[in-house]
Amino acid sequence: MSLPVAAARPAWLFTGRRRLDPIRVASLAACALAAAFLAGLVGLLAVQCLPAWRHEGVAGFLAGGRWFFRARTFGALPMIYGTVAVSAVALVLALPVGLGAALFASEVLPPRARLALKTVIELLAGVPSVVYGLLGVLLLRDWMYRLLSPFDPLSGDTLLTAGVLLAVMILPTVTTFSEDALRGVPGAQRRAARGLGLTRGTTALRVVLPQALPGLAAAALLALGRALGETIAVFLVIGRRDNQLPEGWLSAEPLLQTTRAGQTLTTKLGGSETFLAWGDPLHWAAIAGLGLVLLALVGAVTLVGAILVRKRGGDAARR
Amino acid sequence: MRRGAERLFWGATALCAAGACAVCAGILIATVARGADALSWGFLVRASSSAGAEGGIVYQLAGTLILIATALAVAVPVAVGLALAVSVYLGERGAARLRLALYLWNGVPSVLFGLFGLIVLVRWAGWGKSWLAGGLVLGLMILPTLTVSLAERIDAVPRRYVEAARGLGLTRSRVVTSVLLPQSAGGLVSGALLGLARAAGETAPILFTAAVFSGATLPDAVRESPVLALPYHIFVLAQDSLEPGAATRLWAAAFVLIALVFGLGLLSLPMRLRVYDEARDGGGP
Amino acid sequence: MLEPFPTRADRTACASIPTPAVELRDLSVFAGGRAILSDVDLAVAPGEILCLLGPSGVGKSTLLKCINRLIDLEPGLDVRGEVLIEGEPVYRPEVDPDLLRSRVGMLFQQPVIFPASILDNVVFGLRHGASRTPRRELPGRAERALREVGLWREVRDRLDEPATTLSVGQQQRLCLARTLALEPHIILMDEPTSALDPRSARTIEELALALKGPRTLILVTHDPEQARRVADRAACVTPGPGGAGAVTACEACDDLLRDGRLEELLEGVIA
Repeated sequence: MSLPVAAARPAWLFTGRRRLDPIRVASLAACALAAAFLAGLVGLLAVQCLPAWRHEGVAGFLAGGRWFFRARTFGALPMIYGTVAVSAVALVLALPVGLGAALFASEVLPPRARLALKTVIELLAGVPSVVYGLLGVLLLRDWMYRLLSPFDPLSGDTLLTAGVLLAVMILPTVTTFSEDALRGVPGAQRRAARGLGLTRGTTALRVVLPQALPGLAAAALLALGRALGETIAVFLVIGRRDNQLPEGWLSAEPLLQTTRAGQTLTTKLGGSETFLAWGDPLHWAAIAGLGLVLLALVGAVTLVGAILVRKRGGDAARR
Repeated sequence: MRRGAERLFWGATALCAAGACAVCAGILIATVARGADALSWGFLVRASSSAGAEGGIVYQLAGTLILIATALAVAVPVAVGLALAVSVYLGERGAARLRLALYLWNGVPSVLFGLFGLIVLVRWAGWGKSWLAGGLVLGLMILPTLTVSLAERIDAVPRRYVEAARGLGLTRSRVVTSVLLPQSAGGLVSGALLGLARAAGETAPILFTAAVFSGATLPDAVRESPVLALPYHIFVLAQDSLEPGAATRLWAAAFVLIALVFGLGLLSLPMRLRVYDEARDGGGP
Repeated sequence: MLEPFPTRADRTACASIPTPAVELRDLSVFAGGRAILSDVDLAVAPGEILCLLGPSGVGKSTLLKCINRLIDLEPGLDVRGEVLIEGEPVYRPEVDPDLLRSRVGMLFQQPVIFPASILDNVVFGLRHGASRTPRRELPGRAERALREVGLWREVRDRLDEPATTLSVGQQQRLCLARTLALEPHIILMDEPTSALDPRSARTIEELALALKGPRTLILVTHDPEQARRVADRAACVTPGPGGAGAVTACEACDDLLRDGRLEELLEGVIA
């Protein structure tokens, strides 16, 4: 009945040495590796492009309208314009369609059909960009050439073509994340609204959509990030002509310019100059500079999207 | 909303959804229809010739498989380490920062991964175009996909298992090896399949680092050992004006690529559907 | 009529055991700034069964988790005061909490069965814990533990089958066997019969009575009848001023039940 009471300290409580935990060490080593890579990516580009900034000045590089590497002129504006224009076209086309599809899936379809649609959309997201590019070259190019004939284009390779192709490519992103955002609104809200006699459409527009706004904005930003960073498909249908800038900025000129060929940050980076430029420090610095601008642009867009996603999560938790 | 407007509205949304499906179907149909003539078992096992106008795509396929296998081998250990860091070992703030970093990492344009590989591996390390450089770069690119997939699964393991295991006196790492990893292995597999699907289809990262259009079969070293790759093959051919024979083969190559990517993606579905069902039925403590 | 909050003298009377197996001194647990448990003094005599009684949510589980330091797993909680096991304080940097937990067994309200065979579940702590028991010893230890909880006859032919095929009552006994396999001196039980049908509950209670003596048991329950059946002594945990749980009475269970204060105490709180 009586328990032998330990006269000395129970040895079983104490360990001898601090045991080294190999798994924990390995895990933290992986973190160090990851940090090194990210720092390396940014740092590398930043350091390597310094000569270009010095040569052109910050304003000169970013707002310079002429890129002639042989003449040592490196102005990135035509490519920045190209990137923005192509992405803008893509968003204008993809956001409404994607949101529409998301609304249909989230408010109308029963759960199993919704899952089926989600799967189809995901498959679409998996199509490699080079296949989109191929479709663009062999199909879209001719369609656009005929469509744009009133504008007298030189070929079907235009910024607009690239934008349309990009719209199809980012459609799955817009749809999937918008649908997630809409589903994030609790069903209780819908039931309450319908209980008051609102139609399904009014409920969707006046109850669900406003509450899903942060998530929808995040979806749009995520899609924008994808559009900004896409290289291969855009490469094949954009025409890759340098120094294409609209004549003016305030009229319809920027819009009109999209009917002509152009160049984006990504298509320049994916082109032959990247391979050729290595031997020439200034040229290489300019290329690295383009990479840095692209990274900064996409990084900023993704960061804002991440903050919005977090905000939406926070609101849901408080509810 | 009035009846008519209501129907118009939902009709429009249905159209959007149908449109999305139509595009998917259209892509598949177009590729199959145009490439069907060239699709055959022979196409898959013969080498290409006449710049793609004749022959098959065996070395392009082999090259792609080598690249994605390398990417997997590189990414899996690091992904497991990172997933454990974010779900188990890092504190709240560290984990939040790592999650943000992974999110941003996932958004980095693939061409920049290629640029990174060009600078560090092709030039500085002097490897020239190398299959290993391509594989490493692809592995870096898909790291967030694997990590997040596994981390989500680890987080989904019900707390009561961890509590019971710790209550028996298991250390944190023992809980990882005996409870968390076994129960979340599916997340690693599905993440890996998704990552592989993405890596198989990417062109930009291997543009500078690993791929050539012709002149390579299987690599026999690390330095100056490029490979052929399916996406790059299609990319190069798409830029030239093509004669009919090459065009059909191009479509067939595109179909094979899509089939590879879709196949990998579909393989990951059952596992991801199971998680979805568990989450929906409230698989919690 | 709820008793006024006890004086210091009352509380020390509760802690007046010469060589307690488990002792709590001034134990308080804070979440943020709010106190969940405040100034708990408790002593458990070696070889006895002490029941912790009280309404749900008052902090009995928290108290229990402080003893085997399972509370460390919950972020944001601040533990102050002392917990002594066999005279040694356990909230010290030199103490290895994993080793501690392998010697202080715990049974939870819901049986937690790992997705593995019956045998693998019983030896889980032996195989993966700090003791590093050699493989060949495992089946023997498993059989001993299963016999002690009365499961051996029922499962000896299907040790390799998934443990999820057992009934809830059998699963809880399996969890007890799993804990016993580690040969703990002290066993903590957090409402071990709440999820069970009356017959399985009685089996667990009988097991508890059979286990005491060589071992010390601390059993959390919200059922005074269970305390009557099982406990040597009982301590009531009720919300003190400010809502934090505090031990308000700790005497031989019979005394408490005889003068009817037990129900009154609990009723006063629940009503």
